[in-house]
Amino acid sequence: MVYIVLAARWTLLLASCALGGGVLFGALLTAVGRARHPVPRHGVTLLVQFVQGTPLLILLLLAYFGLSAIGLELGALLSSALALTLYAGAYFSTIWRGAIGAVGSGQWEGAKALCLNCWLRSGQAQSGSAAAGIRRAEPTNEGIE
Amino acid sequence: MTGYVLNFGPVLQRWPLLLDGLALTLVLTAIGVMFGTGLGLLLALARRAKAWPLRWLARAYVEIFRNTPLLVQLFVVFLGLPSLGIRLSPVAAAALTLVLNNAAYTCEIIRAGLAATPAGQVEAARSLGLRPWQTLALIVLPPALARIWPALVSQNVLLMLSTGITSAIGTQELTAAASDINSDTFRSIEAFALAAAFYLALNYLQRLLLWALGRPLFRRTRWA
Repeated sequence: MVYIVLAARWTLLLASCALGGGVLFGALLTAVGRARHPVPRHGVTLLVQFVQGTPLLILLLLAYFGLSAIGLELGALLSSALALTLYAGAYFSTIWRGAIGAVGSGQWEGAKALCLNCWLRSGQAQSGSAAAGIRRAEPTNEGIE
Repeated sequence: MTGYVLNFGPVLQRWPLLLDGLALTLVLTAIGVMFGTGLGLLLALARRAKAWPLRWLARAYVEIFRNTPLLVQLFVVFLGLPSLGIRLSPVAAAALTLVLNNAAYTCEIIRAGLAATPAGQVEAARSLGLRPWQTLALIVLPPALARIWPALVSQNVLLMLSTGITSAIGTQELTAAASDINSDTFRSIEAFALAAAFYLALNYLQRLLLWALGRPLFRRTRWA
């Protein structure tokens, strides 16, 4: 019983790595995925489709055995954290892209009319929108863990 | 990072292993999709039943299966059930677990579709004299399934991807085949990249298949 409780520490650690890393990586993917230039946009789509079309187990095995085969020995914990970050990030980015895409174009135009720049637009005026978009996505986020 | 030379030769030499793995993955997926979706539909109906014990049982089932890892469920079915006298082969245990697991997720998806039915449609059906099961089969279910079809397809693709986990109890499917090839040849990148490519192809194939199945099925309902 003590053993299983102690083992839960690693579960917690990996889950927080996946959550923290996934949120950061997912945010990066979401931002790049909305780029105006088609190359980064399609790059993100390709990466996300690869990660979502591959089982987590294969990603984990690739991160552990694959990386050590090219001389990058990360150890079990670090390579799992890396694979989980990749995995969670891909799913988060799809959810958020959908949520942001659901923000009405009128809201973006309204923000532009108020002379907000890009960041403020997605920050403040969108406290009702982008944040609403994120809020819209929240129930789905939980499912990923 | 020294110069690593990709060499698919030793991996491709063991293609019968990969092919057998692919076949078992397909079989597990097919069983999980068909029976899982069927059981999920029954569970969704149970969750909307008038009798509260039925409702709560279905609720408990969904909560248990959605809040525990698939791997743990596999171990309970494969290693735990024998102590109750139920001894299953790895493949049977894997198939059973995948069905039970998929049913819990599918149940919630289908329930969402059923819940989105406008009350007026059910009332109209009743006032036209349709029986409850007729209302369900003719009025409620077709548009409900059409609404949640994309989510259902996604869930079933996720099920296909999670069949790899069943290699933990010794089913010889695609992931297990790649693992075996890895330990035979030490060509880890090649073996797992090849497996990943197979899964990727299966993913698109399954999407296409289910999408093609949905089209004639929902021709009469408005379906985006």
